[in-house]
Amino acid sequence: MRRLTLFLIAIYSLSFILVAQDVSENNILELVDEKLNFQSDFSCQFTMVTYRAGAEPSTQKMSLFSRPEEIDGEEKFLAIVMKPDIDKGTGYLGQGDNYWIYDPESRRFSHSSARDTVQDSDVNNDDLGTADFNTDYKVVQMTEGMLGQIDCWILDLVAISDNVDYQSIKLWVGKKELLPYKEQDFSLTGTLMRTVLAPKWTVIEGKYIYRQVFFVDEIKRGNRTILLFDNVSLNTLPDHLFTKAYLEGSSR
Amino acid sequence: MRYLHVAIKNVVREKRRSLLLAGAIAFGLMVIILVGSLADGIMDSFINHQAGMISGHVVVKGYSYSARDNLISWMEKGDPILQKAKDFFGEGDRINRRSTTMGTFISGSEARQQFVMGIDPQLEEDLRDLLILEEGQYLTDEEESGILLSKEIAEELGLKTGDSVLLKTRTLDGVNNVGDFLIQGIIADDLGTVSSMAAFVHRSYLNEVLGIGSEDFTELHLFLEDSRSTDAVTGDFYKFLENENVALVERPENRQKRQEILARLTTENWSGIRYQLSSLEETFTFVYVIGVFLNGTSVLIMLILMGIILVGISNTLRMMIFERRKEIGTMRALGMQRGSVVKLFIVEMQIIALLGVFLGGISALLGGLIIHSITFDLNHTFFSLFLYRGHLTMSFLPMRFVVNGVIIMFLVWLASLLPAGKSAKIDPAKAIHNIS
Repeated sequence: MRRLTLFLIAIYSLSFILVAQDVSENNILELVDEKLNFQSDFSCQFTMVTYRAGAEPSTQKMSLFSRPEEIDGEEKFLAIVMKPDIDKGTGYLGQGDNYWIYDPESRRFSHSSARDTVQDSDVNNDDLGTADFNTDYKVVQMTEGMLGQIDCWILDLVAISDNVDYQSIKLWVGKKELLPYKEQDFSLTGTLMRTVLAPKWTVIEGKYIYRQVFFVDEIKRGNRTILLFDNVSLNTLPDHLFTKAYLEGSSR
Repeated sequence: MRYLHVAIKNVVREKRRSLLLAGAIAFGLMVIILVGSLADGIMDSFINHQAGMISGHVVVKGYSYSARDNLISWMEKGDPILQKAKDFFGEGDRINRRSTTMGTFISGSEARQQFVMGIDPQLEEDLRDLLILEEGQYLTDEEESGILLSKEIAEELGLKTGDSVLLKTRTLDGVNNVGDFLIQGIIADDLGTVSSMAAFVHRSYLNEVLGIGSEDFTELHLFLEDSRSTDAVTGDFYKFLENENVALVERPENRQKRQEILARLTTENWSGIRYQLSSLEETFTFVYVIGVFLNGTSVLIMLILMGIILVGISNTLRMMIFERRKEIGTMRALGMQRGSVVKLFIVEMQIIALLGVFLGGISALLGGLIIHSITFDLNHTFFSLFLYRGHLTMSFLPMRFVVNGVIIMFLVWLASLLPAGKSAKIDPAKAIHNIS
């Protein structure tokens, strides 16, 4: 859920039965990361509907391309706004820890950060990266529970890395596929700040991929964002795609 | 004394002319004093309110790299810069530790971004005097999560005293965090734009939200007794710290350079803490440019008016001498020396000038009071920065009156010299017979 580029994917685990048997506080985050991260290029189109209190919902369509760290030595992603026309050509480029936003009107790039939001939504640039629960958090409590009809492990996570956006997280992981269906993000003072829900998944080329994700701002009443994914492909992408030049060219 | 007696008699004898001449001098002096006082008043108003509310006359930031490798300004409770500042600054200067952040205040579905300043309320009595509260009270030690919010923001978020408001921000290291504050007072918008520039909270509570120790701080704000020389004092403090081998961030020539220097800081390889000093003048250069412009204008007006006074006095004296040729001739015939004639006219003009200076001082004072009484409805505009509670502030310095008065007296003396000298050269016989 965090990090949606590479992300949108959960590897279809051929050995999920074995995993389910071996799961424990010590290895569950590693297993979840394995589910969410993959070794190939990824592309899709997604629709982002952003709801803001007192305003009409805004809808944006974007093309998204990503490449995992294993291929070029650093994680890469590129997202281009296709609709509405007023934002068409606006692009987001991520290379390792560097993020840029491209404005087609001024034809300029501005440096962004992992914490900045995508198109004033509830989705951060950081959400478009690979999942690294195992590196950033440790499990302090693991209980069992139901999320609707889904039998889940409920994990209370606390940050062990300085490189996190949220100090603690509550994660609902499906026992069967080890997929994260729900995430609650808490502030340093323990206030619930954001809830992320991933109720729908699809299987492509034997891998689990998100179909729909909800981001709910728990602080500002009425703010939420829905992501819907389409045209997912795991085909290899050309190298020149993850460059500033490509972004500039694509907006002309 | 006998010159003085005769001169007074002459001044009184020509009441109308004397009053007109004194009136012209008074008007000139009044304008000079008013423009100068206004220029200084505007600057003082800005320096004191701006600095008191959101900045200091000198601001010190202590940059270091956080665990997350972010460049942050953070100084711990016992940071050595505190002692250095105490060693350098005088008794009359104040040293305030403050913590600041940018965050979003959220109430229900409404949100508003705002600069938040953590202060020590009991140590910042001056701020208490500066803030005008529409409702509620100043921050108290009993309510650690208390907040003073501007009227503009409170209205936008639909909040009043006693309500809770959430502050969504990040810790110094970038972790999302939320602070829950209780509104203790609403700041009135009497100070215009400045009123809504910041929200004030307890430093210790804000530090919790920022994820640092309760006694730590992110900025050191220094308030000088003499707030007119912030740039020079900052420069001196910089040199002092340099001599004390304190690691410093290079002082920029201008604001743009400061950004470049900070950007360079992130690319250089260094460790520990490096202090950055900035003066109010440096941060708000545009205001000081306006101040320089106003002062320049007042000097220009002064020069023009002085020129007019000089010419006016000289011409009037020529006329007076012409009209009193017979009188001069008679005095000279009775044995009055040339020097005495010169002295007599000079004393006469000095009496008129003194009267003018006196009237000018009084009318400047009255004019200032009238201008100050006018209320300008310029809240939330750029110009409100120069007003204090909707009024223009006049800075009347006794020294300004004395200096300008003395200059005028000197100019009148100078303007009198030539015509008075000529009057002394008049041939008594010709003057008595009115032959030019």
